[in-house]
Amino acid sequence: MDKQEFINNVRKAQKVSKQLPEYSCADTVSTTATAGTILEAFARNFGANHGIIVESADELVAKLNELGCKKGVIDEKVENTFGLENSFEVVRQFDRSNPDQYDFGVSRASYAIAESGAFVLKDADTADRMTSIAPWVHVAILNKSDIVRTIEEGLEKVLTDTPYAIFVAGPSKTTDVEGVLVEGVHGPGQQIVFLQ
Amino acid sequence: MANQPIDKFCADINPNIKDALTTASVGSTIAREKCLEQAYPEANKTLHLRELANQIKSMNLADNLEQAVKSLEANGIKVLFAKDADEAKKQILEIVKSKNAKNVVKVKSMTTEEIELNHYLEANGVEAMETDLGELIIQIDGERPSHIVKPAIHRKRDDIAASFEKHGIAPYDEEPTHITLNARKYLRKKYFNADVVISGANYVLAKEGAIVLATNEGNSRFSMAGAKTHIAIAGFEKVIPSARELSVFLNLLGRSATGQHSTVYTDFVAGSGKSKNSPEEMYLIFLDNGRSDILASNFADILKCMRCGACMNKCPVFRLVGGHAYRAVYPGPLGIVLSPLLAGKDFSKYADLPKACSLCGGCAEVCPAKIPLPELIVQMRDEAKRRHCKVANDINFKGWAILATSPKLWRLGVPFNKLANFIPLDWFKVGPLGRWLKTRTLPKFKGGNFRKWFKKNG
Amino acid sequence: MNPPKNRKTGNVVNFMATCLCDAIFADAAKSAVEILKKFGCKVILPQNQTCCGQPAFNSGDFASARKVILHTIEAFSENDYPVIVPSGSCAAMLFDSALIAFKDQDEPTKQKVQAFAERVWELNDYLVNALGVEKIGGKLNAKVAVHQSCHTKGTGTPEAMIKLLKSIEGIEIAQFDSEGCCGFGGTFSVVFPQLSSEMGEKKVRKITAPNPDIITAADTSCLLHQRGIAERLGIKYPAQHVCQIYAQALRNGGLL
Repeated sequence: MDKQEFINNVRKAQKVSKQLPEYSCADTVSTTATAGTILEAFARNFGANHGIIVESADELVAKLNELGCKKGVIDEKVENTFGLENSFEVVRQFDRSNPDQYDFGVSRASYAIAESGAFVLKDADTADRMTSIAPWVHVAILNKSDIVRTIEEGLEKVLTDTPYAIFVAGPSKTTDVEGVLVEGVHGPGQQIVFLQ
Repeated sequence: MANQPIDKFCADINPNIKDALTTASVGSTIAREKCLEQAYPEANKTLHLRELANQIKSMNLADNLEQAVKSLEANGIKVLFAKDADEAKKQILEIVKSKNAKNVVKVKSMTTEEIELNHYLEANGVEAMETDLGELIIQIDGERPSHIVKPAIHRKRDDIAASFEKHGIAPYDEEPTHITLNARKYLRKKYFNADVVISGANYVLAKEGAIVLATNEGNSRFSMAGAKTHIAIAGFEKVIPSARELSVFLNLLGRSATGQHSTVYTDFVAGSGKSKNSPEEMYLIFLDNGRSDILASNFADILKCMRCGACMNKCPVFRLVGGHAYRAVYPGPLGIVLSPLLAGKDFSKYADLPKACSLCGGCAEVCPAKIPLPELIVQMRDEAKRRHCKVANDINFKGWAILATSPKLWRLGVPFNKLANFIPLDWFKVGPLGRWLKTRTLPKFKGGNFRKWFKKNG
Repeated sequence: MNPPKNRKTGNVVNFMATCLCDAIFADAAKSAVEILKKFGCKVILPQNQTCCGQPAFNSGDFASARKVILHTIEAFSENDYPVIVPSGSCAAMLFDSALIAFKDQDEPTKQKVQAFAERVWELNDYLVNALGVEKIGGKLNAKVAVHQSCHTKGTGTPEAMIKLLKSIEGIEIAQFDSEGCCGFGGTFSVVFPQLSSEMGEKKVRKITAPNPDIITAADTSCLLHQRGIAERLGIKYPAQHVCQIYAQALRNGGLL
């Protein structure tokens, strides 16, 4: 069907047509989710989803070792690799032909939202999507100053400079088998944020 | 005794499945309530948020749709329009064939279930693999989803494991973590071999020209990262003005559906990707398939549904029978309004659906868009009468109306019901009285006693 | 349910017995009238009343429902006083659902139905929110399980009932998992008997779990269905309309 006919059908059918209601952040924000400082709120909410936060390179290395990581891929747009190449085998390109060889992936988070405990990955700031998707462990490098408090603020800048963005609120999970929670489905089973 | 198909389904369903359905639904209902209370402890804040959702969804759809098309196209997304399921399927197949694609991965989409896409693609030589674990489980067994959010809610771990073994996905292992890991391994290969990814859209943003997908498993982002071509399909009612309005919707969606503050992943897709391993081309098909007729009818409110499943989790009927009982894609309170309407000229095949409801109002209490479901359900019963649909056990109230509008007859006749106290009621095996008496007793009749008393003591 | 705002109030009231009380639950209606009088009302019983039209309406037979509703409005048209109903579902039918049956009718008729809606109250709601009754008084030693019927959701009835019951010396409100419809649903009970009975059995088991002395509600229909199921299952189900509890408590206290 052509565009005009389709839209006309919708237009003809409409009986009620209201204006966009007025509302503000106060109407949609969760005061409990945003309680405390921005950092506290982010850590609390991200942690509630079993997300892991590290604040130094040493902590990160220790964690990756704890999780049994040997080889990882660091996204090309990550400038500072924090000496990870000294502790692990590290490459900068994700090889699709052998995707299971990486124990961990590292990429840059563009910003994060404290209210939802989620960091944001954008095509604009990541050279390759697979780095954050395929490996069991993913590390998102996030500047503390890039965390906004509310979901509303987070939505203001989600698509301003990129055709793709994704909010990530923890490791992937499912309850499809008898309602039992299992973490690590198609995405990472361990989700780390490395706070700068 | 059960002549109504859904009633019979209730009588025949395996008690273990019934138990699984009830437990899961009750669990989700409790989780939703806890989650909303925790997020919005202030009095009436949740109610206000739901009212905002309702109001936003009452906006001019045609205007928003027109804006959406402009913005989507400005982002390089090819926008198509499908009048009905057949047209949508043909459009999708054409795109798939034009890319010489053999392997398609699917992100869970009730809209694609509605148009029965998978069967069509398979019949035309294209493998369409579901990537959501629940959808995968039912796809390999040729089943339909029993719930719009948790499609395999009726399945147990042992039969899932057996199924995985039977279909060559993994050796038998019924531990949920292992089942999940096996699915992860199996689907990895599919992601990397896929030429096309097909998804639905939770929301379409008119201003930014983007679609939004809310998932937990990571299958949407993986599918998009694996395939070169992305085809999305959405009913036109999915359009909302902009990303800003998501602060209303995203705050309601996860909480209403599963009692999560938000889904783990929320994808915002405004065209083909800029990074490596992202689609190079994107299509969005807007689907009508009866929606504009519904928009023009008294049932337009049902188009505000955001497919969270809260209504069916709360529904005492759904809890006892599950989605398969409704013989249609959309079950529960949502489905008993939407499914007969989407069936178009086959409405009468589903005319019994709106009757499978005690009008308890639970659905209306939980609907994030404040859709007045009980009202719509009763009006669907009126609609069925207008269309002269035959429904089993339907009771004719014309005689009752005559009695109830003849007060002299009423005052005269009601006291005679005391005679029924002398009739052995187990004579009545059929009809409404028979169906009552099968599982319930009746008290003594005392017709006319109150009015006599009032005359003396009022 | 959405009761109209600013409904009629006052001490002179019409009483709508409901077809169930006319036919079966005479005692519930008697107690209801006694309570209204006890709290200062002059009660009028228009003779031509029959039924609120709910059975036909819920079935989708809007034409029959409209006939019965208009008849009801006519039966209560001798005066303009409030109409008090000892049933949450019948009251809701008249102050809320009726307007749906008249959606496509002419304006004057719709206004007539709307005007009538603004006179209709469920009894407990009326006692507390129109007459300002704070307590029933009297006493009754009993553990009472309260069934809040589905059609009282969103109205003042549930809170009013608990307030009034708690004001009676000796009454303990039983705790139990009260979520869920009992499965009566009017014609649903005989058109979907399997579902209705399973829902009813669930409700009966939950509500009798705390071993109540009395099980009560503002709707005799729910009690009829639940008691019917309980008796077949051999479960004790001592049911009384809430007005009967009020009346008994007052009599015990020498106040009625």
